[in-house]
Amino acid sequence: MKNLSVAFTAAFAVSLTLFSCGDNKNASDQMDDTTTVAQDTTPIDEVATFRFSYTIANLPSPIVIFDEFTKSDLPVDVSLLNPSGNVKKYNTSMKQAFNYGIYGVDLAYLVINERNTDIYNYYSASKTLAEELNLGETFKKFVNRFEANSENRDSLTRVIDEAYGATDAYLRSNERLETASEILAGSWLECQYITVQLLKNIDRTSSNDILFQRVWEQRVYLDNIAKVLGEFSNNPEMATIKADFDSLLEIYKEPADAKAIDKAFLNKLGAKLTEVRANIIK
Amino acid sequence: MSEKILKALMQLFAIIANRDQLTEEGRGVVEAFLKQQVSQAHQDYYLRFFDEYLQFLQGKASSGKATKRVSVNSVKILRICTDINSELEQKQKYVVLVKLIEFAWSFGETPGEQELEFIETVASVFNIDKPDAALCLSFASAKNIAGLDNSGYLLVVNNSPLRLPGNIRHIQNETLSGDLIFLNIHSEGILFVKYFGNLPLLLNGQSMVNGRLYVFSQGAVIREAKIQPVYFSDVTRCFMNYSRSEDISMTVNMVDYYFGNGRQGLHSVSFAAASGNLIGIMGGSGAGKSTLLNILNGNLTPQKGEVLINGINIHTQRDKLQGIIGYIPQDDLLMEDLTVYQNLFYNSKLGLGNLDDAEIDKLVEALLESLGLLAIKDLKVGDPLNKMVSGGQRKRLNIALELIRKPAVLFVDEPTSGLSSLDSENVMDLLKQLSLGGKLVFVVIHQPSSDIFKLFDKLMLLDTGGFPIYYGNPSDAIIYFKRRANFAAADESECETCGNVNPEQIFSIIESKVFNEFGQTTADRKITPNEWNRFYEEVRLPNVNSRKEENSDYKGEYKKPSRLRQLKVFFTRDVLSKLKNTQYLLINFLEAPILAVILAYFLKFYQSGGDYIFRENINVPAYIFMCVIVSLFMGLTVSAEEIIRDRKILKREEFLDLSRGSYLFSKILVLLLISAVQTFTFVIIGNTIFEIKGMYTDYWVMLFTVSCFGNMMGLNISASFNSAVTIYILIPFLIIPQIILSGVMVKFENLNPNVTSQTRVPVIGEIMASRWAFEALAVNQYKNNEYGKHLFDVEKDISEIVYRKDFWLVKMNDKLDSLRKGLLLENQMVLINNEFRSASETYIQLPAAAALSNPSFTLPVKPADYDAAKKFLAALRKHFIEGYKINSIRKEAIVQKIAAAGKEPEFLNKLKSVYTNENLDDLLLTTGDFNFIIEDNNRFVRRFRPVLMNGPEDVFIRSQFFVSQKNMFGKYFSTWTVNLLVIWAMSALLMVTLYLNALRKFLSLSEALLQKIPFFKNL
Repeated sequence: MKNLSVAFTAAFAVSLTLFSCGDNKNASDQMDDTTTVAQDTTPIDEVATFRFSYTIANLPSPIVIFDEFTKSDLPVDVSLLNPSGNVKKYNTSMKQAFNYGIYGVDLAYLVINERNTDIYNYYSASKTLAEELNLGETFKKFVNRFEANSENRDSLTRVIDEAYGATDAYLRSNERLETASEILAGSWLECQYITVQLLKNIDRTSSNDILFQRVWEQRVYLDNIAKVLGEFSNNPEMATIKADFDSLLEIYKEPADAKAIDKAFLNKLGAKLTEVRANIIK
Repeated sequence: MSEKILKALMQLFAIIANRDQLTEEGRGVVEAFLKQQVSQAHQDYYLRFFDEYLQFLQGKASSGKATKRVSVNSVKILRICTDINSELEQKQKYVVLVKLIEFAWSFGETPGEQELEFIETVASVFNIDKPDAALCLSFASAKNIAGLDNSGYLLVVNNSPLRLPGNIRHIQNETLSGDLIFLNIHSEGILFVKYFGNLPLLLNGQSMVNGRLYVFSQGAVIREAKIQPVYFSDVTRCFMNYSRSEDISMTVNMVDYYFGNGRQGLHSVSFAAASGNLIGIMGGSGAGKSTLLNILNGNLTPQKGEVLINGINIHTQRDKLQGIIGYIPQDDLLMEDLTVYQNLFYNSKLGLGNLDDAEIDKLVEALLESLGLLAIKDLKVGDPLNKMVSGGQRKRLNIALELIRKPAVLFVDEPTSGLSSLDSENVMDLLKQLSLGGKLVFVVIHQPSSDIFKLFDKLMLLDTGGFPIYYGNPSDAIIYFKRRANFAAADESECETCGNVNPEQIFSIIESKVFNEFGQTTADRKITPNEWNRFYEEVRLPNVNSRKEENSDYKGEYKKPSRLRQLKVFFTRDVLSKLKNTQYLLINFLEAPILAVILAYFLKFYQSGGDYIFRENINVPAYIFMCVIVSLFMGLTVSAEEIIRDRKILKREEFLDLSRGSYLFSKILVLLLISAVQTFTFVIIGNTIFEIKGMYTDYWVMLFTVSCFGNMMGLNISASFNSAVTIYILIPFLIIPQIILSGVMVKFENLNPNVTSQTRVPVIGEIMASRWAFEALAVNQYKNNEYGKHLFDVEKDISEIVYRKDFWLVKMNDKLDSLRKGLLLENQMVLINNEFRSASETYIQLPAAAALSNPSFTLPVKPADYDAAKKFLAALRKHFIEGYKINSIRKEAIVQKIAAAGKEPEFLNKLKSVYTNENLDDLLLTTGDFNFIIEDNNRFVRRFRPVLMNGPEDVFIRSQFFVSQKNMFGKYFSTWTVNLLVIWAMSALLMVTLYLNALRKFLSLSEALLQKIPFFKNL
């Protein structure tokens, strides 16, 4: 029991840093409740919780990654994103959660690159999914701020960060680990997909080297995410996705180190990522 | 006389003329005969026919001998008569026979054996029996009164007071010189008349030649300027041994009447009248003629005085006089879309409840025939602008409507206005005959011709302001006024030579003006109405038989049918009349489909180039809302004119004392029927185009309900206002609030805070049928569509959990913390206690709940209370988190199950695309602001996803907009059921106000109150 509460506390602390700084006041309120609740809870999978927290603790924010894109003068390709119209297709909570993660990354990408025309569509797609997942009211708190800051890139980035941070905090305080994991996996997948699709077309130089290194680093997170997803694979739909993530891991076994990340690998990885992602966003 | 009869006669005349070698003389007689029968042009035609036939006979006969000629003629006679037999009715054959006899006797000498034989041959071929033939012979051949036999089939009218010998009937007419003789052929009901005398009598306007024989047909009248006319009914009554059984006497005692504004309308009117009289009421404009008539018939109640019929006060004991009074208003009160026959038939069914259809049919046919309306019985009456039948015929039909139930006293308001002089005379003759038939007939008349003026037995004259100034014989009236005004030759009431009277003369005397010193007329009258009234009072005799024994034996034919039967008649009549009105049908039954097409087609939004997806159509709420408004509007317009259109007919039927309930119920039934069809076509077409799948019945039921409510509103205003224009101006006043206050155009929360409330639909919204209907349809569409119905329950559970967990718990924790810090006011304790009490009841299964079953938080809070409460809240949170997990698994399972049910992989999405709608979901799931939980009346009120919540458990029906279940009598029912009931209850309420005529009463009361304010009084 004690372990679990520690895990939760840890999860919370980490969650604040998931998408950079969160809403402190809100989170501490929630934490208070969580600790109280945890006292006589029925046991949930401790391993899953631990893995989850561990993964989150190390996952870099997509905003940080996309910022690096800008610094490296990577071309902007909006066509890579999951079309916002797809939102209507997602009927199961698993699909909704994965794509909520995906749209969050897409939204961040658009904001960073100041593609204001599309922002609203992705914002409302995220909102729709948030409502479906009953995160709506948490998400909605940010509606006004989002609309007020729609012209300002930095503020918007912050609002999105906070919104996603708040939903994540909410999910974990409500013991909805599965949904939280799916969102996380979704956003990891989308971030990785965009990165690889952009990198595979350019030459590795000193100015963009960091990005190639990032791709290499992801194998650790991928491993963790695959393991967390494995905790929920009694759901047949989840089992397929877990298998997909495992096959991604297989590809990562080839290169020996970060220097081995070359075009051939990126093409191979990119093809697999496209396949896995296509399964999720269809 | 018809062409066939004339041709037959020409042939027979030719035979007689030929045989007697009287061709020249005979030709003269034939010519004279034709002159009376036909116009100049036709005379020549028939004369040529006669000549040709004569020549034909002569040509054949000239070779043979005289004896042979006779036999040849006999054969000819037989052949002609056989021809005639096949072409003429029996009645017409009688006419041919008597004309033939007259012809044969017209040559100055008495005809011989052969002629008699000839006549007998004709009679026998015509199948006229011997006694009748003998009667005809003796009557037609008579040259004077002495030559008649004394059978009971004859009637003599002359000025002699002496009875005639034998069975000959006799009427004394002092003004008539000479003798009028009538023959009644009883078997055929045919009357012949002959006149011996030297007056230029007119039979129906045709001059009568001395000694010639005429047919005296139905409604005929013999007039001459100086004589008292002889009416058909006088004659038939005499033959029928008619006796008056129903003596009616009417007494009017000192009647005063004041209008609503206090002006006096009638000044002590008194008179007496008895059955068998035709009484004219005359006077200038504004003299109170119609007022008097309406008092006499019981429509208006005088403030002073009384009107008695056989001693029964018609205003206070109306029920004893049922069916005795008939009233024919000035305006035509016909169902314009029904035929002449139907008008009379359905009216009779309402008046003659004791007869069955066949009997009524017989009566109606007979009456139509006697009024000369049989030929047009199947023509639609039409309105005055689109005439199908003439003005005179309309008027006669109006009279027939009253006659059919045989009232003993008949009131007729201006029967001749707008009619040609011929029509006027016909109508007045009809009324005269009724009075001769024993009825008491009152006629208000404006400018009678001399002939009509003379028809009246009595005349009542009123002067401006309602002063009675004369009551008595019409002819004497002229003498009276001339005398009063000191006219020369005052005793002459009519023109010496032509016998015309000039009723206008009376008015010019009454109203003659004072001249000023320049010889110009001034506005002042020589004799004021008041003075005329004084003169009249001086000579007025006291009312004879002013108090007759109370006697209400006379009931007429009137028998009120049962309510159900009335309902049936009203219903059939209404339906028939509507079916006959093509324009009405077309408009009312095309309105719905056309509006449906317009609405559904134009609101059918989708991304251009793509396919139509119901789910993405942003206009679904607008469509549902417009469906409601259109239904309401259709219901309102179809009914708004219903009662006002019938108002005049209702006025007449007031005399029948029919059930208002039956009438209204029939109206309601007919309208419901129309609304049902309208909304049915509307839904079928609209929903098909708009692709709302599988909800036809639901939409129809609700829209029909709304339409019925519209019907009830329409009927209420239709029954309460005075003109169709007012009603149509009023329609927007009824529709616009239904639009604005429906909660759709403007959210209830966003109305003026003085009228609205954040926790429930404001009262002003509750009285709008549109709000109930829209809510029911929207919630039903959300909840019961082919996709949503599977998930509704689980979604509802989830939303309750989310609300409790994310809002309620947070608020409660906040309250507790503030309480501990001492930041709460005393009055907040009630809220905390209430919430804990109710929560501990709801979640009684949690062990921590027990401690809070009877919470008593006080200031400052006791640590034990605080701890218990915190513990309870923590337990609740745990409970909700688990609940959420369970329910999301449940939901997932349902989704999977639906998906598995479809064969195709995209089944779930297809289902959603076809059956759900995003915009509607948005509307029903959000509240417009983010105050998902508010404090009201010492409770927390949930305002989160309204469609997924129930109305408050302690309030009857009322709740927030769009909740899916409502509390009624302590139990929860679906919003659909509750709203349906509410609209029907509102309709029922309107039915009651309609039945009680509440709106009309309210309006007249307000009018009366307004009249008390000097400003309005002077308007």
